[in-house]
Amino acid sequence: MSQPICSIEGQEIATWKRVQKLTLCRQLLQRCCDEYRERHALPVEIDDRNFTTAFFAWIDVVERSADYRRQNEQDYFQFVFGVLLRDLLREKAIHLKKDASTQLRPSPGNIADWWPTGYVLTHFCIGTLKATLREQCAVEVQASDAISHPAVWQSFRENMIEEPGLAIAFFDKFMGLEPNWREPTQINNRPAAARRPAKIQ
Amino acid sequence: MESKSPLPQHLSRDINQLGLALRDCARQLRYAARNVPGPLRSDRPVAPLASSATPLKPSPHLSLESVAHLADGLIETAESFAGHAVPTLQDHWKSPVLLEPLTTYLEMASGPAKTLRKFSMSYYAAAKRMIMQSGATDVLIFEHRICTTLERMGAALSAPQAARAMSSRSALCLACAQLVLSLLDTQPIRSTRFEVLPDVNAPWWLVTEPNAYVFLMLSLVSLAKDTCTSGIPTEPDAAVRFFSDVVGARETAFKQALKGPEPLHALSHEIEYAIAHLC
Repeated sequence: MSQPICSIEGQEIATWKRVQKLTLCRQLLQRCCDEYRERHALPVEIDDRNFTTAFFAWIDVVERSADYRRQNEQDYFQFVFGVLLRDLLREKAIHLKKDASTQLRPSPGNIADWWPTGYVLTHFCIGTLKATLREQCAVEVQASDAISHPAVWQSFRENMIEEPGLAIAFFDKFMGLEPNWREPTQINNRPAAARRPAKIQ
Repeated sequence: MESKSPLPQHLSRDINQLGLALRDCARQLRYAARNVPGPLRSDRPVAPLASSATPLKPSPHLSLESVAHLADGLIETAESFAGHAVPTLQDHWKSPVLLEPLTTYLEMASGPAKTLRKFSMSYYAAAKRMIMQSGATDVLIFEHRICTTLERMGAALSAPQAARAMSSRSALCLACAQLVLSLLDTQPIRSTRFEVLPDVNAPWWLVTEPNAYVFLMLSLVSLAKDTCTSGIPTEPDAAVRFFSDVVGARETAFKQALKGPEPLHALSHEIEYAIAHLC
């Protein structure tokens, strides 16, 4: 498997702060799209209008879920980046440039070419999650083996169409966590929330 | 129901206001001539315009063509009349319109009438350009109402209040909300004509409440020049598109703020929320 795209190195401004700003978050995503294009010779571009809609929908969830951060910081970041993946996919924040689809030679084993937008956005969220956990929680995480299984991606893509919230569950699976397939959007019903009860100060 | 007549009740003392009022009057005639249903070159009597749409009472023998001629004549008259006092009537909206930072406009609010004109001219042209570029076939905006808004804000703000308004991001957001609400009170955009759904993030909001959508968006463009020094597009049309996307994405929240019990504080809070997440 080739080296994953969207690795984020330490920057002057913390990744968590950057992703919460529309223009800076867009820059990070643009970098991922550029990286994808270099590696796969397929131009993926950001739809600014859809990206803005997705971003503000996501920011609302980030703010609404802030209490959970005090309860389980690492799982809070895991959840909100799963939500980011859901919102970016649901709003179709990126797309293949016109006519580029004719260059596609999708094969079941080549996930990056088989579903370019899903691949880029998933790796964007993994990259930002890893950098955020490193900077905010001093924790290094890696994607699980599921990330390289075409069958998982196939299921992800098919299920996303009917229920975008399942992107959160698939994101958990990709990061090696136990997903809540029934209610992936409910932060209080996350398996990690059940294992670590809230600390009452 | 409020008359759509552009003639301000306080028509005033001020030659600039009179020039603007004449100009808006001519624009109204031009808009009516373009948009009243029926063939333009016709000897048939003109169908009466909606009573609230115009102060004119067209005679049954007045053709649309003659209304158009009358409008052209009035524009020329208004232009030559106002030409000594104000810049000539130009289609400023046909070129990209660069808006100033909000603090610059707030400083203008307490200045002389000629300074206020810079504000109304920019906002008029930027609003018209935004609406036309989103797919409208025509739009009628009363520039003098934009001018009056800032004039009233200037009169309401004492010097210390004006200084406070520029002292912090929160205070600037409050001033921005005040400006938007004042513009909504005067309703400068009188009519828009879309034959297809506008190409914006919240098309129905623009169709049904153009004043809210457009003036909120323009005021955010102006505010961001004070609060976001990098990251926002600098090219005027790109900046408008950027903020049009932002306003569209926050449509529900902005509408709730505008229609709630305390619109000034709610809108100010919403503006600050959006601005805080931009750059």
